Amino acid sequence: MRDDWTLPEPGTPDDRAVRFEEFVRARTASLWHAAYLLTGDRHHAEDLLQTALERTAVRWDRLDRPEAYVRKVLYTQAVSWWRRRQRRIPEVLVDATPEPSATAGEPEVRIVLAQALRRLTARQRAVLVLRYYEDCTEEETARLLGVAPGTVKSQTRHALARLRQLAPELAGLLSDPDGAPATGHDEKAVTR
Amino acid sequence: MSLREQLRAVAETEPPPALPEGFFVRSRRRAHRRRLAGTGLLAVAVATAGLELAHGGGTAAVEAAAPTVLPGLVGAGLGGPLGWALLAVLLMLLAVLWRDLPRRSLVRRLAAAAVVGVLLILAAPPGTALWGEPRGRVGLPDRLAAPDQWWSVAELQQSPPGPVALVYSGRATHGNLEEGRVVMLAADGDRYRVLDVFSDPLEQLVHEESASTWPVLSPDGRLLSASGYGVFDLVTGEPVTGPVARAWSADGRRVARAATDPADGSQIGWQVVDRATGQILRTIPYEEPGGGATAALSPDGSRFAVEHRDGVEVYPVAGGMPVAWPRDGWRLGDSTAWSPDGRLLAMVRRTACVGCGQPTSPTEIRVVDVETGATVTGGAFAPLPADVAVRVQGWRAPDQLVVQVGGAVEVFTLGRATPSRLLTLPAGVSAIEIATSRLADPLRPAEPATYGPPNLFVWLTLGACGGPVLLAVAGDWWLRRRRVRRREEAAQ
Repeated sequence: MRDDWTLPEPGTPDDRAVRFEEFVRARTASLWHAAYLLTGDRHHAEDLLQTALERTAVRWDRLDRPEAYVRKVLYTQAVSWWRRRQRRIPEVLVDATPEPSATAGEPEVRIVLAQALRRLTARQRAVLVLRYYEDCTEEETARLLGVAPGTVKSQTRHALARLRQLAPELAGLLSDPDGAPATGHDEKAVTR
Repeated sequence: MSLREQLRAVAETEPPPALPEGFFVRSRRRAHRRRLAGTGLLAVAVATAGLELAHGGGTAAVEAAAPTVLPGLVGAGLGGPLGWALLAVLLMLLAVLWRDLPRRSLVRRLAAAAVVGVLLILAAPPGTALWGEPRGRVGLPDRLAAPDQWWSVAELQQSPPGPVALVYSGRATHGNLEEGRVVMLAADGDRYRVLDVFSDPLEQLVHEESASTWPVLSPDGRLLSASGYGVFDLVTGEPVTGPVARAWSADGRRVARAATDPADGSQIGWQVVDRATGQILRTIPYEEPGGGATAALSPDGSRFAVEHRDGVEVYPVAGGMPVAWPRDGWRLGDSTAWSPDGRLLAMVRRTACVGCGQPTSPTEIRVVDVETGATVTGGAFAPLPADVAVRVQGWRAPDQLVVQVGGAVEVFTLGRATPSRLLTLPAGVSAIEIATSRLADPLRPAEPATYGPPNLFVWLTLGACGGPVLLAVAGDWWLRRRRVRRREEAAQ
């Protein structure tokens, strides 16, 4: 997981807002991407990111690694029951699944992947994002989400299977989710 | 492209938003506000618990509202304006906290505050200010409450009224199932409660021959004797053990009770008892079975007047021979006959049982000297209407006798042939008893009556009607949730 931003030397209390603004400017894009992947919806992603940054602002004086804290809040909030029920995306049920195109180009793959991600559960999305976007190990993912590593494994397996089921044209992409570390820090180091 | 690269591509389809200006300061201010609101909620909870513990249970003392503002606010505990103030603060703090909830809107916040307020009022301890019940208004109200129905009024054990000023009953108060509903009025405010028993204890008042349950109230209005149902403490609402008093001294320390035959329970005489110790101070046996039904204890508890054959005998409680004089068909003016100075006795001449349809002649009242039985100067009054209940309530002043005469409570002043009206009973009320210690209270304008928390009947009705609605709503919510869960499971 990326945690590039470090706090500068503490300044006067008036500097806190300035340093926070600097942090936000530097890291918003990265955090925003995670938030957007976690929710699949711009409005909800903004809400999620704002919540995480707000909590960070409140605890700014006590945080050594603010970005780690923001990401922790992002992921725990993304799977929290309360927040999940606030942002359920209405789905239109149809009789049959859309006919997949025989060969999907890059833009199509991106669109299909985004649509399929939206139909995963919040926990499955969070696991996929952590494992394949943030390059977290299973242990790190489990720690961030507050679940057992076994749960991470099963959720990952379910999520990939569900993606294959929803979007068969992604089979090639999902058969070898490149860059996904299997377990443990050593393997993660290799994949990085 | 790998999955990671595709995910990155998906994420980068939307440009990051810009945070609003002053986000840092506003966030911290909001958190500070939340902390303050949380602390405030805790303070409200502590204050409420403290006041409830300090003023727990019913009000035992009857006191006028404090004249100064602060003691008046704090002294009444939750039963005063402080209860309302705490509720207002609580709702305000909740509204502050709810500002930060998702999907907040002014209408939703107001609706939520209203719902919480209503629930808190319903759940508040009975008799607190949240019920809007008046306290500290000592004095007899100039008008008694007479709602169409008494079925929704809180019952004694559910919400004790504290010491009462008076009790009354009659056709208007009797319920459909229970015929003995007695209405109680608190001594320090227009708070009404009811006692539901099968047979009305006050009903006995109109029957001359069966006056064995008089009086029903102790002088301080704290104890209510409900004939065969026992004696109730009106502060706690619980039944109490001890003798059923048939006459009280003014301070309530001594009572007269019936001495009964252990074999068959019939009355064989009278006993004067010290309530604190239970010691029998004097026993006066009937000289023949079926002695007098009425007795009276002097205000200081030192003398005891009882009917005996065709006379009245006044016994010193400490021992010694009684003073006796003929009564000539007159009877003791109930257990409350004795004047506050101990020199006079009220006498009543009733002609028949009221409401029995027998031929009657006017009822009469007079005041006699305890020592001789002679009518004192100014102690004779004009005859009263026939066939109405006449019940001596006690003395309002050394020269003012209070008597229920039919549908009114009249004051008979020595030297004045006709009485003056103290209270007019509501239609359908046929019996009243005023606690003797409250007779001297000034008359005050009646305020809007309060009837306490909804009683069991109301809750059952609400449950019967609202239960199915709640079940339907809960069922709908559960079905929706199950549908969503199934969809999520299917997605796995």
